[in-house]
Amino acid sequence: MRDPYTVLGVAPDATEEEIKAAYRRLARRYHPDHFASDPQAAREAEAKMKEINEAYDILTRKGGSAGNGQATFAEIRQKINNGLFADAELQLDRMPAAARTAEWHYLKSIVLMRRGWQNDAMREVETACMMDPNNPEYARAREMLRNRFAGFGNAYGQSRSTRYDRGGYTQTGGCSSCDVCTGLICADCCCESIGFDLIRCI
Amino acid sequence: MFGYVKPVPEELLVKEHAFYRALYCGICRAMQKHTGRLSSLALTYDSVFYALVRLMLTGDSCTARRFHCAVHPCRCRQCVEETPTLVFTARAFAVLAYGRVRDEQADRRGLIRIPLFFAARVLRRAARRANLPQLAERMQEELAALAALEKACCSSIDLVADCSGRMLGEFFAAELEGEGREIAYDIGFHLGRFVAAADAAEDYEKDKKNGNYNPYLYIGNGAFEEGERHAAYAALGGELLSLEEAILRLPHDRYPGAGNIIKNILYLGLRDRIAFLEPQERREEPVL
Repeated sequence: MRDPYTVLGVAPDATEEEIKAAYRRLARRYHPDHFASDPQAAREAEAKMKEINEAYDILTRKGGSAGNGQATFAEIRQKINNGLFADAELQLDRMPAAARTAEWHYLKSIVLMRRGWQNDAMREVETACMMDPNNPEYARAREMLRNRFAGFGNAYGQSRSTRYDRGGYTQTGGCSSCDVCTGLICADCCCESIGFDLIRCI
Repeated sequence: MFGYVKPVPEELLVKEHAFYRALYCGICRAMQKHTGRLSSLALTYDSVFYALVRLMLTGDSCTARRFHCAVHPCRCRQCVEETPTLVFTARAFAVLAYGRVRDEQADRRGLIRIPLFFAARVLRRAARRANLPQLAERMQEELAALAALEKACCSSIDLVADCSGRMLGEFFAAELEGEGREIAYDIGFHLGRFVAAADAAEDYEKDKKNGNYNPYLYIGNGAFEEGERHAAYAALGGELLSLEEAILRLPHDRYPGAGNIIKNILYLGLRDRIAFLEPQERREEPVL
């Protein structure tokens, strides 16, 4: 989703009055009734109107809910459940540092995960767990993220750990008695070639 | 990705391993012919993964022949004959190798700069002969973005990894079309992200000692201890899961041999690269 301030065409420091005025102006311009004769234009106007409504919603709610974090978190969860991740992230990023509770970090991790940013998602969920160690939801999410990779490639790699241990092909890594004899014989040959003798009997 | 993307040869069938080596020889020969003899010295095994992915998508058929070459004068080698895919691989890797050497030149200090200077001269010519201006430009852009992040001491590994992800994505997808392009881009993207992050984790100690930039230095208190290693392991594993998803979209039935080598690289080769981060209690020794 685009930045709501750009959608409404107002400056980021616009007052509530200015936002309202901009919203009214745009709503009048893109009202579907104006495009009754042209269905193509009507569809475009409808899409535009939806975007304007969303932007207005975000901007007007932001001012009113800054003090009441809980309500906004519920809304963000709703957005995440509905698949509006970009929107949810925008709202999260707009929250002041003071309102960034454990739940904020948890929700942020969901949004980051969705984007494929797993490193940062891990860090956010770790932070959430650190800030609120007793919350089962965060702990569960952390466990899930940590263990997602556990069974990776087992279907393929299984053969690797079992292929050799049944068929009698074992390699101990040290040297066998055979290796020792061979080594001694070689050493003896080398010595004899320069006129000494290592082992008398061979 | 330099020397990072390799299979575990013990787990390949003999014919698959032979094919893998023949492909490497084929790319090396293509590089000698199309980008200059000396440039082929900069070739790494990663190029074979690249060639395998693109072979599966383009469906080129490969024929092997025995060749003599200067590096192995005593024995003939099986070598895949030139196909358009191999030539493109050779050209793309000449560009990548030049980017790498420029990057090293910017980072390294001391006597190493003398050989780097000559390598850069050779590879600059090779990259020019490769004649892939768009890819070269994209690579420069991403490397510049990476340098800016390094300068700002960025602490988000994902932001840093995204640069090399986008770069490799473009390299994998170049000159492909349709669905194949998307698959190749995704493979390149996730591979690039994985390699960047895994490389940073591996070089943590070295970078800390030498005072080089490493994103893990700026996380938490910069110690990169047990908890953070665990998190990094899980995140890198997640990246491999995304890579797996993209790789499974390849047309595996068309090239079963190549598909198996790719799976070997993904499930064993790449997993082994991050085994050093694995939490101790879960680490299992393979029975061999």
